[in-house]
Amino acid sequence: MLRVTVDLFSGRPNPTWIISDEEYSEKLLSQLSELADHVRDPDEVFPGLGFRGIQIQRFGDDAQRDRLPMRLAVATGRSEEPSEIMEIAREIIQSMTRFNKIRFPDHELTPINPELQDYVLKRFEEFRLAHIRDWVLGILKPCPLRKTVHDSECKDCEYEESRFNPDFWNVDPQVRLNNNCYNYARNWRTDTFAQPGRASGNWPNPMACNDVAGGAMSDGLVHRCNCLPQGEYPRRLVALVVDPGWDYHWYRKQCGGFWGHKPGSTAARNTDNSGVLITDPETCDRGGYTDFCGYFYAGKSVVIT
Amino acid sequence: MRVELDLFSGRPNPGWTLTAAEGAELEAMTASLPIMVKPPPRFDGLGYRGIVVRKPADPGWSLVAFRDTVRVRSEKGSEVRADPDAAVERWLLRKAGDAVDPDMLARIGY
Repeated sequence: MLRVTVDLFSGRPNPTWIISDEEYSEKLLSQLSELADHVRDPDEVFPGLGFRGIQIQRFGDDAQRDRLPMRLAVATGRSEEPSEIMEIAREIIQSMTRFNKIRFPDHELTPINPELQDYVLKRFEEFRLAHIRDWVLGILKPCPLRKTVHDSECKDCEYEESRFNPDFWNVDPQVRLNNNCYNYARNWRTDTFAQPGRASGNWPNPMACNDVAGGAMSDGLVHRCNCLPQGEYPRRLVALVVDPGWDYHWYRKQCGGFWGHKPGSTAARNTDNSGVLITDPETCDRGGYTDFCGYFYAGKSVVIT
Repeated sequence: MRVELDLFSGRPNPGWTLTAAEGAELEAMTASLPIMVKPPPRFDGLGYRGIVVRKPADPGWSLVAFRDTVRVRSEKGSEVRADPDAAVERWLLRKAGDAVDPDMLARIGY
């Protein structure tokens, strides 16, 4: 027997049911065992909104003969998922109404019925198509972990772009809570909620472009087009904005033509306040951070705390 | 309990603490609110994102009061409760003392 939970909702209980058909359970585990490298730990799933994967819990101590753990998750989008995994995930969802006889208290709010099945399938298909799109873009635009690019805005300057890797900042709650936009821009997890100028003795500063930029430059950042030598590798291109009188915010150029950022202790991402991919930090939706202060390079000698 | 006004991206958010009695009052107040079946998505972009309450002894527990919703996450799962009058958010702000000044209150719409 297997307990299945679709990790989907934020407020109401997630759809959950028991697969009581032993033959189907065995077939499912056999298929997943062949794809064990693509099975994830349910506790490592990205905690965003929307379809986040299908969790499977095994019952019975005679089920350990294969490579699968007792609790697992599939179709989480954390890595490139083969089409076979997506087919299995779809089949699991399509079977949910076969197994609605075993009742849970959660079924009062989330009944396992055809309407719910249609809704879950719709959300799953959206997730699957988005996953394929990202995967295809990855094929067309392969991003190495780090690559050197020529800065088209300057005559001779180069800097490094990294592959977008939000999991580094988001999976561990303590990392997410204790690192902010400045940590993300510098790409240095200090776990101190780093502040511009604090490492170099020029903090705190009033929340205006010149003051925040001054603090950051005392940490070692330089204005864009003041080329950094190869010895400063890796050199990041970052952008500073300010909510006048209140706060500042940083973005970092990523491989793939977009910018990443991390608003305070929230999750790192590459989308703006409207949920749109950030291709230009000057024009993206920044809420109250209305002052665009400029672009900077951050080389390896930049120290932040 | 540790409380944080989740407003900033770069500078540290203002914070304050609740006594054990205040924490119990907060939990009772929250438990009395109805659970939302179709809650709105949580805003977590740049700007005011709500008031976050955490228990240092229970890292898996958190509460976010933001306008007309209260989100509680615990080991048992997460739930969203409707708070049409933003009573929990207002109550938490009343406990802030000097941590939140009038300019900041105005900034978040109070």
